[in-house]
Amino acid sequence: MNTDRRSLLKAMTLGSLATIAAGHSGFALARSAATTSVSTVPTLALVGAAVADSGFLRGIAASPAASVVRAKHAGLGVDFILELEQRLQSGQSQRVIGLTDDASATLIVDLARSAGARVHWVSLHNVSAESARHHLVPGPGGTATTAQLQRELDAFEAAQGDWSALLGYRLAAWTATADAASRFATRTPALTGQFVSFSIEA
Amino acid sequence: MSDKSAKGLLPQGVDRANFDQAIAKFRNLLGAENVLVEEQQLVPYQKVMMSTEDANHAPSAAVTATTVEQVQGVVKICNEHKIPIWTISTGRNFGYGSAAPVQRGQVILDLKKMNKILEVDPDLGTALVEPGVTYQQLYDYLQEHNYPLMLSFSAPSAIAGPLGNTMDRGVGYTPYGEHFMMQCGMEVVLANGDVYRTGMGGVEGNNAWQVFKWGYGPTLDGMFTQANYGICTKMGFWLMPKPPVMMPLEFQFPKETDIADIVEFIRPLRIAQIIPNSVVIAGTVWEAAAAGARRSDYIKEPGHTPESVLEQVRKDKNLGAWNVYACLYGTQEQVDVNFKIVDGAFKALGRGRLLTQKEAGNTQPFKYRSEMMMGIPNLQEFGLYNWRGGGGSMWFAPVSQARGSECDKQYALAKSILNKHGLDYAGEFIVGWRDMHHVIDVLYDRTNEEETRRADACFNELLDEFEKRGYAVYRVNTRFQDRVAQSYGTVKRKLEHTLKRALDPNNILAPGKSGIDLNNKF
Repeated sequence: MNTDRRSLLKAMTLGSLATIAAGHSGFALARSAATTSVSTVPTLALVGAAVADSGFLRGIAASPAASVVRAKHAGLGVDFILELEQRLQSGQSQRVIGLTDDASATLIVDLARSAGARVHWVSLHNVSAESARHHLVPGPGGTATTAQLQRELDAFEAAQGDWSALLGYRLAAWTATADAASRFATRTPALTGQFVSFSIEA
Repeated sequence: MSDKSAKGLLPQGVDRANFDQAIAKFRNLLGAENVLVEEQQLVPYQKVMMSTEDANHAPSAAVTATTVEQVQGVVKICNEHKIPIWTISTGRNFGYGSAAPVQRGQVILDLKKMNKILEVDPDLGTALVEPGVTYQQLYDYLQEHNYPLMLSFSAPSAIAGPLGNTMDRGVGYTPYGEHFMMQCGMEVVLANGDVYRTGMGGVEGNNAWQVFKWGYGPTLDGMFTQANYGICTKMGFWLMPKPPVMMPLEFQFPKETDIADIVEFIRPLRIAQIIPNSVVIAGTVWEAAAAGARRSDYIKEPGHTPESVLEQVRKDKNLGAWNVYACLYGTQEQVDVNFKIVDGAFKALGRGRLLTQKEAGNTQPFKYRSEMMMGIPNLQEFGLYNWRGGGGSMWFAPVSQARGSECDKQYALAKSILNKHGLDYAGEFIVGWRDMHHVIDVLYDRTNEEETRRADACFNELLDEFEKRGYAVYRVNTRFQDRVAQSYGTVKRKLEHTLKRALDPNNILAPGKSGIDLNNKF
């Protein structure tokens, strides 16, 4: 890991996530060596407080889409919700991905609905040291990418590392191509607790 | 969970050709961008929090209208093709069904784009709004115009809206907290396309639509609430003059057994309007969760949270077993006089602790409770969903007389049933003028199928056991609406279906809402 990436990750884990813009010194999400063709649509990654220290952002940073991703803390503040609502309704082509607590995700996904956005992925996660459950909304079906990610999460074992890194990588890259995701999933201890992940296209 | 994706989903009794023709007509009427049929567009409409598969409430399509004429056009198409539609305003009825339809396959008519504030009269304290207007939008409007008026809203205040909340007979936390009581004048598109205005709204040139509720002859506003006899496209309601002084109060009581005495303490003050707002008596879990606590911070074992843990939560979060929130409004002189009366009654009770803004500062949950009583939107109460996590939330909301003995009985019964099913009592009582809305959030983990089944069994048992004792809920999520309709008796259901046959013979408007569906045998 180079110094830039280390300082970036430290900044992220310290919670300096207000706006991590690509290209800003010390805050740019690292470019991946991977060359998979992915969307260049501007992407906002929303993370809950418990997620900031997890592999989720590392997974995003490792993805081929890292350069177009900015990250931000999600919360229940009215200002945050209204700003996100305005953003989703701006008419600008963009993606919003994230891993947050249930409360924040309830609001975020519903803002996507009222903005008429496409929701490619919503999944509930309950992960402990002993077990992991990933509950996809609306259940089996969806696109090849959705199906593949669901399979990968279901098959993921704690010994492999942090499932959230795999998730971050996959949500950022959003392709069905099997590639380097599992490598990044092995670098950090697994995130435990209850979360909701999502991928929204406005 | 079985495979019931939305792909190719059709409304009940409608074939593909008929459905496709209807969709083509919707596109022609509304524009293609306002007719959503792709699964990725429909996913967020079917994210439910109930103890059933998401697929059971999956829509076949969602359409958005922007004018009353378009709503009339949608109704016409639905009649032609027998398409059932489920109307939402802002769709933020979380825990009561969210935006999803009551029956699988129904087409959602989303009125979010009808979001104009049509009129606010600062002298008379009235408003007239469209379905998509949110409380935050109205709050901002009042602020921008510097109108000396305030709002009453439910907990998802910033993002929910007055029309939808009132049509579902929701409640708030200010003196105007019984929202339907403050409603004045509706415009409703009927199933035959007619546009009906209640009260004074039918009189040409009349300007009393938002000030006089009753009009002439039968007053029909109520029959359109929690019902499927029409689509409300405008609603008038009253706004409270913002008083110069508002004094939020919290009374904390240490023991669960204090509930009966608390109600006896509050009721006379409430009925006499010494305390004019909808007082809340909230339990530990509710307040702790709203203050940011999670069950997993304290205990990893499944099942209900033991009393010893709840005691620790109370200590950590500075909470009582019951936390009572009230607010005094008026001039300084009025507030001083009323505080003296309230404080005297509290001291006579001989227990508990009184907190004002001075003692509580900006700590939660006092802060968000105060804001709701003062008409300031916030979203703090969504913290409830993090208590147990997993996305399961169903409101169980029985009503009772505002008597201590009634609350004692309801609390003990609810807690024993919830705990039996391994779930926590996360509840509050909202004190109306003479009634209590006992609102319990049945929180559970939807990622756990076994827990979801337990939550379902728990909710059914709550309904059954409360009914045996003469209680019924005032509102319920879409999974249990037909079940709850049974509690209110056959005569009522027969009448409701008679009205439905007369007003909507093709059964196109939200069949199943509150258990009213012409496919039922009534």
